[in-house]
Amino acid sequence: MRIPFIFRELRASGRQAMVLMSCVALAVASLTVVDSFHSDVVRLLRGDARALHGGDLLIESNYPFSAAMERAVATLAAKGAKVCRQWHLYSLLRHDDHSVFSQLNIVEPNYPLYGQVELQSARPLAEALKPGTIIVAPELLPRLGLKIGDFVQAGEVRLQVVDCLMRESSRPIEIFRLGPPVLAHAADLAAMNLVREGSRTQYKIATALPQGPPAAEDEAKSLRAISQNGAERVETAATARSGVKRFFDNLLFFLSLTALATLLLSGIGVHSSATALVRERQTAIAICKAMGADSAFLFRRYLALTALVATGGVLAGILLAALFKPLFPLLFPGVFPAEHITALNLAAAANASALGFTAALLFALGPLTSLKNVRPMLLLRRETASGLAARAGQALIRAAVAAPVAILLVFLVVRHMEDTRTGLYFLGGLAALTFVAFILTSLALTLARRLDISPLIPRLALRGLSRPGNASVAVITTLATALALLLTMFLVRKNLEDNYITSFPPDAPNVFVLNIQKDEGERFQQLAAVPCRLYLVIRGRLKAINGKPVLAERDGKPAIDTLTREFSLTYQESLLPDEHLVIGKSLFKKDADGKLPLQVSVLDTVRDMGNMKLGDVLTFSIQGVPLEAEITSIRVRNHAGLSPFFYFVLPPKYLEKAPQNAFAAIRMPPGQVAALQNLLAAKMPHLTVLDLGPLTAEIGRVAGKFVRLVNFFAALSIIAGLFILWGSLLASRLPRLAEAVYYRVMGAGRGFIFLIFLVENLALGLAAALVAIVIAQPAAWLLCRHGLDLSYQPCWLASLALAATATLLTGIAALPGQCGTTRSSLATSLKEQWQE
Amino acid sequence: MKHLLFAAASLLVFAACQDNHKPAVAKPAAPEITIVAMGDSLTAGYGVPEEGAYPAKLERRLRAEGYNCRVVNAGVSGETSSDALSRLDWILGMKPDIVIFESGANDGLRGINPAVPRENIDKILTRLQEKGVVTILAGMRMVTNLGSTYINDFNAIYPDLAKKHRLLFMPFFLDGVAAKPELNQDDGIHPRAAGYDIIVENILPLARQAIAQWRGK
Amino acid sequence: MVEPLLVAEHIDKTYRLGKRQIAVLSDVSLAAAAGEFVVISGASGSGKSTLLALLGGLDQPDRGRIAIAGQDITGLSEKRLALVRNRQIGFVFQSFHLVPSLNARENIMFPAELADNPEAAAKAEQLLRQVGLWQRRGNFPSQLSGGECQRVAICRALINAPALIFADEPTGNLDSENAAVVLDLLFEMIQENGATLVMATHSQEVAAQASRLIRLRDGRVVSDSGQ
Repeated sequence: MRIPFIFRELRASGRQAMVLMSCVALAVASLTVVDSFHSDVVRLLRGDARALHGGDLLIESNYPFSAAMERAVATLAAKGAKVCRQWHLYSLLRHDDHSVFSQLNIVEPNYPLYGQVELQSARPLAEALKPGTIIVAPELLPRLGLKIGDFVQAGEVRLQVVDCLMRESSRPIEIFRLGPPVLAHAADLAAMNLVREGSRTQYKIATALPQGPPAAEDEAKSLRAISQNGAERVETAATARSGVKRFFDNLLFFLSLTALATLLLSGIGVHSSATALVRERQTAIAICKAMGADSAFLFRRYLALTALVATGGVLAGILLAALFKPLFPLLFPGVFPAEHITALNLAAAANASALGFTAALLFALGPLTSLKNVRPMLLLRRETASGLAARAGQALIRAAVAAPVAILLVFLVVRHMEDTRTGLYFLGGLAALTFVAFILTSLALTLARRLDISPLIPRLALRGLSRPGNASVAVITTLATALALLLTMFLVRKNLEDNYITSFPPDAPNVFVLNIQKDEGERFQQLAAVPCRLYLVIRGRLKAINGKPVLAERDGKPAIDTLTREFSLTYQESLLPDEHLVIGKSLFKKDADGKLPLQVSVLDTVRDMGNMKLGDVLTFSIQGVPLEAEITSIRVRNHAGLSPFFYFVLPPKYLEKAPQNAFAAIRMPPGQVAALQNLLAAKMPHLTVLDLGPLTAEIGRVAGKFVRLVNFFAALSIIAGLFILWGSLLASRLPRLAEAVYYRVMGAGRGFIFLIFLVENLALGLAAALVAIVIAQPAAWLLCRHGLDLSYQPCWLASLALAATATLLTGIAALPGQCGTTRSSLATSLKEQWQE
Repeated sequence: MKHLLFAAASLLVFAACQDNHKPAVAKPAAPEITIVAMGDSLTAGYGVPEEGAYPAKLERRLRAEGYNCRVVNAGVSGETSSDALSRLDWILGMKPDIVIFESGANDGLRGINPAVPRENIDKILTRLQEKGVVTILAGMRMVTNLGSTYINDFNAIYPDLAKKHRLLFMPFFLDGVAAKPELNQDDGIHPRAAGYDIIVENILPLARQAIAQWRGK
Repeated sequence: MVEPLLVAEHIDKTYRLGKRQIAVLSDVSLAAAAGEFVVISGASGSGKSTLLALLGGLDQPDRGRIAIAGQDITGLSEKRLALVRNRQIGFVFQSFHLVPSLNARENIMFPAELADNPEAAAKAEQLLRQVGLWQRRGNFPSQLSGGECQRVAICRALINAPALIFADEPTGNLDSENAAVVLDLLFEMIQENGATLVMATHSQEVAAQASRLIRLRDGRVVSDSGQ
């Protein structure tokens, strides 16, 4: 094979080669970064997870540990594991005549094994917490009338308050924290005399294994075997607190998906730039053929050219990644502390290179096999690119050539996903996505061709879409697939965020006050003197659906979220602000007299639990009193956060008399919560105040960090999307240029042509965007509901905004290419067209 | 297990004998007795199906003994004594003959000043007596981690009020069940079905006494 | 004195080819009166097509003056020049240059629509019937034969009733039978309009029918039968 030929071609098709190379480079760079960085992220997230749990392996029980478990822990310690015992209990701390119900955390001196405890004095915990001392949450000081240095009564000892507890990485997320946390030293445990028979204490042993987390799961298995009838729970940082774990898992899965999406988007970019290359070089190809070169010869040469360019792309990608990675701590301060960033991972780079290179070849194959269709006749009889259309036989050959490469790619992708089934699902889904995009686009274009509209510009633009050689179906399919991928990613990200993050919007209530009695609402509101909403709660059980008794699904096991548990019902006439109806026109049906008969509106989650539908009759037992109500509407919550919600809502009349209490949801500045608690403790001592402030702050902190991470990876795939746009438009540049020349010869001005192409590009972008929405919505729904087990919001407005942006971007991105269309002299252009 | 078998056997013997002796049990024709089990999650049977909680089990036992009665589960999980006081009218609306009253544990678990449950329970018991309802008071003992000052104040509420109102009194609702891992759910607070069997055993004699008292009126 | 419809005076045109400059036309002057049929002939590379392009306002000469109906078009703005092309000039090319995405009727209508002529459709119908292509009005260029394409191109050139028609080897891509049909049509329709036809061709047969014959060689006028 003669190298000079390849270089000549490379020189002649600079622009396309650049796009192709950029696509490969981008894919390789993002894969390398994501991949090598994936391990950093995993480590970072695992570190975070570990810090959240304070150990590799946790053993918890509500009773003192069994002898067998103690022996097992001693064995672990003998093998070099660090052991930290903790006791968590609620008790009353007293000072003068104040007492505050507090969460007492008694810990051994090596606490915490992982993560950190931030004290007001910024001292390390071990330095501050000595026997005979106690460290309290800052809100406790005003509530007990304390200052640092005072003594406080805990059980049967007096402990000196030495510091304030600002943040504990290991216990940040607890919704039902009934009192402020305090830390005490294990040496004082016996003297306090709070942990003894009949006490409600959570016993905990946290261990740090010398081999780190990988060993935790095996150790956990053997410990679980000796745990006594489930009373001793053994968890690893990876399994504990399923919510946190699920968040991390989802995040990692999502990052893998984005990296792959970037790869595939780049692949599509390669496809379109290779198409553009073959198209622009078709005269040259025809000449070569006329001189006696056969298709196989040319195919080999162009394949070599592609391989060369792809190799360039791979190298550029690795270089890019290498340059980029050290910048991470600068780009994401706080998200990636410098010590978490390792040098570029060679294995990751190799893996990414293999993926990028293979994908480039695979995606270039289609356009390259179309070389066969370029006939020498082209030189004599000009047919604008129509010769490039694939024939049935051609498709078979193409498939046969592509199959082995595709299989290799599938193998690599599946390996990348670390889970065969998910990998196959992903690829299958993608293939289906492309196919659907192709079908929809073809349909839309056939329709556009038939359409006979009279205004000149839109008609010309629409006709332009089916311009021979324009390959609009391919371009729109490409764009739509890319956009659908982007939109799907966007929607999944949005739902991830909604489920985990915006569930805690800044205006969400941060304080809940429970047990407000029926006649106390007004008094409470006057006392609290903050705007708040009262939610009425009536406890009841569901006894039957359509007369069929509701039975326990799992006998003997705790039935926490089954239909047999007690439910909180409420009565009101309108929807809560963050709910909407999915079935039924209004919350309740009125009868002929305009009154509300006895009926019930149910939340979608409970509908799914009980397979209920509109018109079903539910029988409740309101603390022994039966009540029958027909389902007249079904509601959904807009967010899955901390805002209150009710499974069953009934019209007021029927429940007003039933036993009920209320809770208040309040948004107030965190600094004022202690004052409210003190006030209520004095005036309405039976009320319980839940302060979610620390929790929401912590979630906000963690969430903000991950939003930035996720956004960064999403941005990479958006850049790939822009390359595709560019590549696609390059591919259809020639026929467009020709048309512009004809229009100008007929006397059309530049503005006119500009307008036609702008409208045409907008139509192209719009078609792609609409197809993308049609595909992305169900795809994202599927991913969220079945892949990630999240609730799903379609975010139509955001989808439409994205579609509009994509449409505009397509319109704008196409403009620079057109300037060339209108600048050069017409005579030259005509001649070029003819002679090329 | 042996204990249970013995109990079952003695029941059979008792049933076999009943024709020859003076009827200790009401005839089927006697009006149905309404017993309302009022309380928190311990009564409601948090984490067990309703038929596994003590009211349903008690009803089965009483019916097996020939009493024509129903035991209504009016337990509400998470209920404090303040909640109980607010819904007393609703309970009275069921026209109970007998009320088994168990409350206050949630006040204690939230560290509410013991004066609050004392006052609430006192009011409830007064109302029940005014309405002529035969009442069994189930006592509660607070978990020791709250400290001796608190638990001493709290634990005293029940015997004091039982004495004041001269009630049938069960000194500790969870007697023989509390702090036993095998009888409780993993949270260490709520009994399993097996735990409720013991509770029913403990209540049964009081229930019989209450029925006798009610008949005496 | 009234100037002829088309006047070109001392036209030079040089193309740059890398570092070399190639003089395509040098000091070409000509004039054509209304209704004349001018043939420009010469060997390949003699500059016929370039001259036609300059006369039709598709390109600008390096030097000299070109005037159509007394209006100098060499100094015109892009916009004005486009207007001149649209209203006063019609083109017929050897390789048709029909817009491939428009069907026959739309191709013909286009210049009239561009001129906001409300009768564009009616005029196109009349022309289509005249050239016998009414049945094929919905076909796209790729579905038409060469002869049919050229007939469509002629209609397109004529729809705005321009005073000047430029035809660059209009039969170059056609077989002789089709060529004859197309030429006959072209002459017939131009006569009807009274337009001036300037045609570049090296067909002796066609040249013989011209009212005036200008021969080019190496970018210079070697003979002009009108002078």
